[in-house]
Parts: sequence; structure tokens; C-alpha cells
Amino acid sequence: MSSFKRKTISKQASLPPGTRLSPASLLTTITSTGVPSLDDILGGGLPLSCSLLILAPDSHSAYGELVQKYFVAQGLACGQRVCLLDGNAKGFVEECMWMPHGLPTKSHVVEDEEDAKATQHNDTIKIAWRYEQMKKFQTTVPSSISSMEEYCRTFDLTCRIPHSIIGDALQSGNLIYLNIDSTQSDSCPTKIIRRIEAYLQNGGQVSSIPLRICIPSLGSPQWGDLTPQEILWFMHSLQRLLRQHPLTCASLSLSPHICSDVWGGSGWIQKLGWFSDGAFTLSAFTANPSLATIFPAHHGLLHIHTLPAPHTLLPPSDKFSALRGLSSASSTGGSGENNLAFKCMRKRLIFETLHLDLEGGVGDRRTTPSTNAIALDIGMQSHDHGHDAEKQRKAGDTAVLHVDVEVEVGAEGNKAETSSVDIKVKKPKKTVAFQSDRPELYDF
Amino acid sequence: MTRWKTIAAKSNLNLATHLTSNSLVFVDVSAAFDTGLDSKQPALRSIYEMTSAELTGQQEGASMMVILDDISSLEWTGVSLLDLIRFIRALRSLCLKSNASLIIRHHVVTPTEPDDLLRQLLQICTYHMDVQPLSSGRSGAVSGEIALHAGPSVDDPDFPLIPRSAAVQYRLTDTGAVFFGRGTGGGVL
Repeated sequence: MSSFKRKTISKQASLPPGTRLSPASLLTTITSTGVPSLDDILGGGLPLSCSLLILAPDSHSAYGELVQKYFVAQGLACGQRVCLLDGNAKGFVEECMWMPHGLPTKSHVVEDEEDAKATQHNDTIKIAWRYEQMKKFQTTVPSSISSMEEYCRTFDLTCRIPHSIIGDALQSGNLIYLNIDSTQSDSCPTKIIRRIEAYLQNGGQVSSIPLRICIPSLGSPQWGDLTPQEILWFMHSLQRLLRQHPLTCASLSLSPHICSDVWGGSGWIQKLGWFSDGAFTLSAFTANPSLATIFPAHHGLLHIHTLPAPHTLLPPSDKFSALRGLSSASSTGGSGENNLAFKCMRKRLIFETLHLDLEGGVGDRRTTPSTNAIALDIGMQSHDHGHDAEKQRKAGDTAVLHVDVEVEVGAEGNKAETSSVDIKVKKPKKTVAFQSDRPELYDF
Repeated sequence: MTRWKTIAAKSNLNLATHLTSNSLVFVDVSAAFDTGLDSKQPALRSIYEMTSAELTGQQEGASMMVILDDISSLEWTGVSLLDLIRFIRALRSLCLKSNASLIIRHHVVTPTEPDDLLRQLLQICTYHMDVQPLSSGRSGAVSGEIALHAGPSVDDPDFPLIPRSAAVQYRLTDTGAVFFGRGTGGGVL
């Protein structure tokens, strides 16, 4: 018998539902946040016994809340326990997204259709031959492959979570609401920590199913008047609880107004980063129109403050995140880190590398317009020409200003009138029309 | 604690045996503050008493070390500055008496304007080690740089000091940190 024996680890049997081992360390068990690209940034997923903090300082959007909803939906979908702390926990769960009803493969196709529509155009364009061999420029990680399906479900933002699922989860104890109400005496941070602790000790130890603690808006009015010290104390105590209960993980969002240094004094964000395992800021463009015009394809930037590293010196994300792009040159740890951004499409939220849009910005330029666009153009043109011609006649009667323009347009208009049938058949020539009702617009 | 254990295991150190043989004692500071935000003073006192009991319990002549990791979280979670300064002073005199060295970790979140706690710490320290990220931003080959300064009470330091202008650079790896002089890192040469 050989002295080298292969270690066989029965992963499937021992691991709780919806989790897997971290690629970095066998000691770390990770679970999904519900967003595949966010999992990638975290280095595979959120490790159990760790906390994730999402800061969304923009009060006009709710991207932080959206990530929390993904977190809750993923927990319910893979049969984990979810503990929700909010003023209106019931309403929050009912607004969560869910998986589309049809076959998962089919829905996936439908979901990507809008992406495909955008990219299919690029496929037909012939670029310089030397780029042909290169693989397609990818900005994000592909969502669920079939093996990932159990680990990270594919959610659809157009679907709501069915009431029956919430009811079942509430009955089986998989979903727990801890209501926060500042008017009641048990809602100061100390008491809330006590309540979480009591819950963890009663139900947490016996069960081997992971528990997700979700706090969608810490510091919102329901929490009463919190000081920075109280918030930090709360996060510190929560982190300590998580360390004691290794099958628990937590995801927090702060209320928008306390997500910036302005509220907590300078260094506030860094302090928050020290008291959570992973801390991100989703700074949306909605407050800043100039940024929104520079990056029309994205809805905001993602800043990383801290990354979870429960059992290693370096966060696993440095090595395993494809989006951050540090792993390329392995020995020295890569050159630079990618700038990351996020966008929220009709059906899902995606984190991806920040890039300029086609042609460096303002809308995409199409060299060959699609067929229905041409038909539309023709219709428009013939109509416009008729219109112009009429106007021309009227103008010719009354005014003798702008003589050359009138002549030119007039000739055009006559031609359009006479050969309107021809235009519909063949591709229209490039024409210049002057429209008096929209004076700044030239139609090429 | 698990993080400490696994990281120590990477450098062939089994913390569990040290914990059982009492050569490493873990004083849980945050447990003392578990009672909430009020009554901070007794909590600090109880930590001090636990530490002093541990220090006096050791046999005579053994070299000892107290690590406080980290003091800024105490400050941020609402311990008043005055209480903290008193606590540090008491801890320092305790360590002086029992011939133990004291290491305090403090996070500086506002490097441009030092906070009051840092000023106090600088006053009472013998040596002041200053770990910073590179000022030029993130690098794959260098995680940061370390400088060692003498405190105000030292006029003839036992070690060669490391000025900021010739700081030692380091890089974190999976197994531990690698230290090297400026410009001699793996990515540079």
C-alpha cells in the first residue's frame, strides 16, 4: 500500500445547505449574497461568521436595500434561516425578488436577451483583423452555471416572492422578524443585541442550518436617535456574536444619511470598515447628473473599504476575484486594481468593471441602422419633405429672406414630392432638410 | 481568536497548547463591555484587575508581554478619553512594575490631524512604530512601510531607529509578512 493516501473529504454530506468551501481555505465556509458578481468580489461569497456592510450614501436611490433583498431572497431560496431586523420587516420581505417561474434554463435565456440584443450588434461589425483572435471583452462574471444553481439562485427583479413561501418560512421558523420600534423600550441597541443573542442561543446552537441576519437600514428613524458610538458599539457586538456562532453571517446597510463622513466625523467610514468584515460603498450617480452622462451604462461606482479574511492574512478576494483583476500576475499580486461599478437592469443587479461606453460615451453609434429604423426614416423624410415643401410654397409667397436656403430646400422638396415612390424602394440619399419648427435640428 | 489560531498555525505555532499551558492568556475585553454603553469605568477597572492578576500570577523573572489590540475600538465605542488615558497609564505602570513589555495597537483614521488619544499615547510610549500604506497608492508588490521612532522619554535608544525616509517595506503573503528594504522587493528587482 502506498504511503500517500488521498484525503477524501465528504463535502456534500457535511456542508449546510446553500454553502460551499472557500477556495482559499478549507476552514472557511462561504455562502452567496444572491448576486453572482458581488460574490466574486468577496472572493467566492460571504464567509460564515462574517458581516457585510453596504453603504449607499445616496438618499435618492435604494441600492443598499436592493442588495439586502437579494441577500434575504437567496437565504430563503436555499433553505437557510433568515433573521430580519427592521421597522417594517414584513413589508420588506414581501418586496423581495424571486426566481422566475418557468424552467431555469429558459428564463436564463430570456433574461440575457436584452444583453444579447445589445451585443449582437457588435458581433456583426468587422473590426481590425488583429483583434479577431482576442476573446470577447468581458465586464462581469457570468451568472449561474448549472452547478452554481443551488449555491446562488438566479433571481428576477420582475418577480415578487410568493406569499406561500413567506408563510411556509414563517411557520417553519426559517424566517424571523425582530421588529424595531423606537417607541418601545426594547429597541435601544443594547436590548437589540440581547434579543439577537437570546435568539441565537435558543435556536442557533441546535440547528445546523446557517442563519442570515439582515439589517436593511441601521440608523433609520425606527431605531431612534443613535449616536456614532452606539452604532459602532452595535456593530462591534454583532461581530462578536457572529464569531461565537460560526454558522451565522450578517449583512447590514446603514440609513443613507449616516453613510458619509459628514455625519460621523472624519474617518467615520474607516471606523465602520474596522468593525465589519466586508465594507462596500455603492455611490450612485443619481445625485450627480454629470457622472450619469459620462457613464450612461452604469448606475454607480463601487468602492471597497474592507474585504473579509476570517482565516487568512490576506483576503481571498485578492486571489480569486476575477472582477477586481488582481490575480492576473500571480507572483507580485498583479499591477492595478480594476475600477468597479454597478448597474441595475430590468431583471437583475450587476457589478462589473467600469469602462467607457462604445465610442467613448454619449450613446452608441450604429454604422448600419436596423431595417425598421430605415423604414421609419423614410416615412419621416417623406413626411418632412412634404411639410417643407408646403412651407416653402408659403414662404415663397410671403418672404424673400434667406434666398439660398429656400432654393435648396425647395429643390429637395420638389424632388421628394415627385419621386416619393422611388425613395421608398431604394436607400435614401443623404439629405439636408431645414425644419423651421425645430430650428436647431438638422436631419442628415 | 480563530483567526489568530489559523494564522499562527501557518507559521508552525499551535496556539491551543499555549493557551492550555497558560503561557498565552486571552483577556476578552469586549465581554467586559457587553453590559452596554453605560458604566464604562468599572469595565476598564475589571480588565485592569484581570490583567494584573495574570501578571502577578506568573513566576518571578519570566519575561512577559501584554498586547492591547486595539485601543481605538474602545475609544470609538464610547469610552471617554479621560478614562482611557487613566487606564493606559495604570496599565503602563503595572507593566513597569512587573517588568513586562506593553504593546498597544491604535488605528489612525485621520493621518493629517492626530487625535488626542494618539498624542497621549505618543507621550507615554518608549518606542513608536508607525505602519502606513504606500503614499503612492496600492501596489501588488508592497503592502506598506514601517518606521520606528523613539518616544520622548528615550534619549539613548537600544535599537537602531528607522526613520520614515528609510522605512522598511513589507508585503503580506499567505503565510506571513515579508520584510525588505526599500527598492529591493520582488516586484521591483
